[in-house]
Amino acid sequence: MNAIELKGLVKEYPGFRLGGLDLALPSGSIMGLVGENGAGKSTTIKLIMNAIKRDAGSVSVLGVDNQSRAFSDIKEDIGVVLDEAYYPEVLNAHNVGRVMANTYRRWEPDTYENYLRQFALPQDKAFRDYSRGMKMKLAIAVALSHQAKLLILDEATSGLDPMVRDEILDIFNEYTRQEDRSILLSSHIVSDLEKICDYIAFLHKGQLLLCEEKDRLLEEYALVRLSRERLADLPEDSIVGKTCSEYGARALVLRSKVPYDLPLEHTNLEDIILFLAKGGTQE
Amino acid sequence: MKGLVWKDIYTLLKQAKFILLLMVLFACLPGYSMSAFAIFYGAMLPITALAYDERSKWDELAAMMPYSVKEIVGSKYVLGLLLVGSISALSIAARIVTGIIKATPFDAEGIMSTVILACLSLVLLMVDLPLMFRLGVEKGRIIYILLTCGGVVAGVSYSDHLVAALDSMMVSTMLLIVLLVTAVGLGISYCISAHIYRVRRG
Repeated sequence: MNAIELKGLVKEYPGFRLGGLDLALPSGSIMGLVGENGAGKSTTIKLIMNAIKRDAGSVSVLGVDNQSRAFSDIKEDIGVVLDEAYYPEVLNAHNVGRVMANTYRRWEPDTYENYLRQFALPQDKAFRDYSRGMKMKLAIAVALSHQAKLLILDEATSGLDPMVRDEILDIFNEYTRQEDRSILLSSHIVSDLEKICDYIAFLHKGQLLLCEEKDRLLEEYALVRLSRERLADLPEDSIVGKTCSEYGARALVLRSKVPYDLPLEHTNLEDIILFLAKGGTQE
Repeated sequence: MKGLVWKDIYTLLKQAKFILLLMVLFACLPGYSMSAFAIFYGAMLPITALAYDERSKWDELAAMMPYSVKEIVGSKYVLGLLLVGSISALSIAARIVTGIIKATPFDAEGIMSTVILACLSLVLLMVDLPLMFRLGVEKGRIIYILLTCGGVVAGVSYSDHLVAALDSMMVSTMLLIVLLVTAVGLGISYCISAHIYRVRRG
């Protein structure tokens, strides 16, 4: 089963069109939704949660259409962390726990308290006095404390220092050890996604440029550094993107389409994303 | 919805502790003016809670949680009813206790007056909340003040007719009418607010 399935999803605003998006997150896996600011990542997440109305297409979450009545029950199984924590600033972690205990039917107070201890979050300190890292950790503690089968994280790690990000990514990895648990993680920090994701979906100006297994992507593409003349000899359909300077050229190529004797370099997700986003030739 | 109401109660307890204490004190004081102030203030506090929601962008998070639009909107009405109900009950209890201590006859009319005051305060709530959901707390408050001023002017202008009509009614009939009008008004106001909220969410 797919944890999330989008088919022909469209949302239009004046000056911006998202979609049509076709995307599937297989159950038990982690998908990274990457894209520049304004690419449509948050809009996609809002559409998945039916927080805004779609203009066309369909969205199924944990096997249920998100516009059906049954979806409000399904929301019990989804933990969401947004780019900000958005709790009333005067509440403390203890108050948030009480509110959530009266919100989620399967709320686990012991799990919540364990996370508060693990994250070293003071229970009586007002939310407004938390640092950004602490606020995000509180939101993550909430998302992990009601037996969610799906985590949707919108820029949950942005603005955090590398130590905290690493700690949080470990927690997400741990979370998906159970087979039926999945994560959709939107971020523009590609290195974070490369660390933990099984699948990568790349949104660019409202369009889904790719949605593939991360390992396959890294196998499929390679970097080459060569002279401009040598680059011109490569088959045109083997070049995804290239940058040329007076010293030579650097290109992202499809391994399967270049001559076998061409020296290839391993690429990383960041290069693939950058070349795909820029496309064509960059001088 | 319980979670939403708890959130507002915690917020008010932390932000408006002093006002809540004053309301409890005023509700217990003899005479109508102070308890009326406390009851009317109770009907205004859901707007304060709404202002804190706006400030923290709580709605964005609430849309991701297992809350329906009906629950999100309804929680503010429930909060208003809880506050007005509690303060009115406290005021009535204080009146009864004072009567027992002073050994005065049971003040049924006083109790009915408190109930009518509570209903009138809920009229404020039923006008106020749709405005706040539509315009936001900042703009909504300005329109609300203008409407209240208009209401006061109209009330003063037609007060003679109103007093004449009320005089001709039995207190129990009047109470029944006021309760009925309040219940229907709250129902209509809630439906309008829920519709506005749905449209605003997009």
